[in-house]
Amino acid sequence: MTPEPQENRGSLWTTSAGATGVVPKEQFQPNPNVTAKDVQAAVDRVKDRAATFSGRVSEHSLRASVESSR
Amino acid sequence: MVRPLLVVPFGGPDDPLEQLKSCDQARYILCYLADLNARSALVEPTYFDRDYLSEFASFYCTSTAGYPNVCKRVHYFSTEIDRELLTDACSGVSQAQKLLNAHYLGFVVLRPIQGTPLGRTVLRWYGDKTPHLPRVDTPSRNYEAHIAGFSLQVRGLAWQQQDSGVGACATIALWSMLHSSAFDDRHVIPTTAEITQTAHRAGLTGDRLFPSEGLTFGQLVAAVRDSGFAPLVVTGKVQCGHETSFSREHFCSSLAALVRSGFPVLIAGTLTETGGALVGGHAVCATGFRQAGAVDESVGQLSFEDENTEYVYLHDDNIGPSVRFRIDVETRSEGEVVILRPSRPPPQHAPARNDPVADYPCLRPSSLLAAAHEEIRISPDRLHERALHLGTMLIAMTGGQIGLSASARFFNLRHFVGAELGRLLDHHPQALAKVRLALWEEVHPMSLHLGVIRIGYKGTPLMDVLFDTTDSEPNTRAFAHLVYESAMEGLLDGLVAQRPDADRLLGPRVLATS
Repeated sequence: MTPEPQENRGSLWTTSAGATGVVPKEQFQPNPNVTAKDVQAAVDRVKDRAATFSGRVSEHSLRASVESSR
Repeated sequence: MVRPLLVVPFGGPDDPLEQLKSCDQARYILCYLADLNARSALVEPTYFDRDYLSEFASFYCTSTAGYPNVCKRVHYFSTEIDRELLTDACSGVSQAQKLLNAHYLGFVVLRPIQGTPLGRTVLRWYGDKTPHLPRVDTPSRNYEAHIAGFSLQVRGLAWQQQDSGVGACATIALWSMLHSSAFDDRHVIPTTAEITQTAHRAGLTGDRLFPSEGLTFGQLVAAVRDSGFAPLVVTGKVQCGHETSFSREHFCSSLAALVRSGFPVLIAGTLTETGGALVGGHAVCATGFRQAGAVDESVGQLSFEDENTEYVYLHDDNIGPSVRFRIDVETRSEGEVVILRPSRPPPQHAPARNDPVADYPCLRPSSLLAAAHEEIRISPDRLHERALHLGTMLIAMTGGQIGLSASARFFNLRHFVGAELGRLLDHHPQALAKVRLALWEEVHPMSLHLGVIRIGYKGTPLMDVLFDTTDSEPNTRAFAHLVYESAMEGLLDGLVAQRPDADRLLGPRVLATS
């Protein structure tokens, strides 16, 4: 099946589930050579990116925002 | 004393907004209404407005100017109306009432304050020209205006001009926020005067209460909390001198998660001229955004679905309601940071009116604030962090053969199990029944609000993880995960076998496949 052009695709919150032919099932298989260590290493590699979403608000950043909301 | 309702042509000399053309906000609203093809206006010459009465009681009643306590309310229509049609609507002719409602564009309350006349204003959104990439305006709600025995309905979110007496930009942004559709059932909307009073309750800033020169971010958070809501704060993580700014991924994902959840978002930031000169701090209220196309996931990468969002719609008290801003990035020595540029669509009316948006400065956001239900104790940031970890693990399980996308938002439990699952599985009635019953009968009793992470591939949902929102972060666990695509099962089995924390991360499995 030819995928639809990107601009015509819906989002995860507007598309129905079970659209046939989109998921290449052969690629959605666990690789037998991948170990638990490999998976943990992948998680460690996104540590900096995850820190963006750490949700902690530093005192400094709040003080900066105090002025900017006036 | 006779106070006749007046029917006047839109934009004519008798249109009260046309008489305020020196005011930027009035010019913006005239442009907006012209684009909605406004044809006529119905003027209520005497209207008691709850917000203005509160402002009057708190401030204006003791002024020597002798301000009256009564406003005007002007309703706009996209058709010619006349006294006869109005009389028919008042006599109960349903056809007349339907016609008026079909062409109703919303209303503007005009305060008797010469310098800042624009009070509570609710206007219909523009028609959506790209429904496949819809404008997400979940926080909007229905407003009903009653006139002489019939009612007019409009869907939108209230906006008003700051009066600088009882409210500044932050007060107005917060006031719009608390009009959200998410709070219809249990909360009374505070007036601007009540918001300013609540924000000053602790009295720690040293500023006087009225006239209000602005609120600090801490006061805004306090006002949200003291109004009976949980403040959800998201702060940019890029440090630019003394300011914080957002990366595009962080800003767009967080904003979209909150707006999709029905929460308008107060954006605090700095207004800057082209070239970088600072104008000052500012606060606005985001009421919607234009959904970007599905991300084209790079192999081996997890993408956040809304990270490429291009447009956000802001209630800006300096301009007007639902002003479109483009989300751009600006390169600074500290990295790329988000900047919002006014970007009004080309005018749909001719000759084009003088538009105040063109010369407006850009806004560099530093913090986001949403008012959520008190029961919600987890932030959208935490949901995104979990989505990032889960998606990364799933991709790693394949040896990096696939790319995935992720998105997160909050749902009321009944909306998720009802409307959302109904839409998601509309072609699979047996799977729908199976999932709904499993969630009710087999899963741990769930919280009123769910944190939902959705993992997908090329715009197609593959699975949802439903999180408890009522616990502390370290103890937060998943109630269940729903699998919509059978190809995911092998990957998830592998993950469960490898990860001792899989139960907390995923919860029990509910198959939503036919």
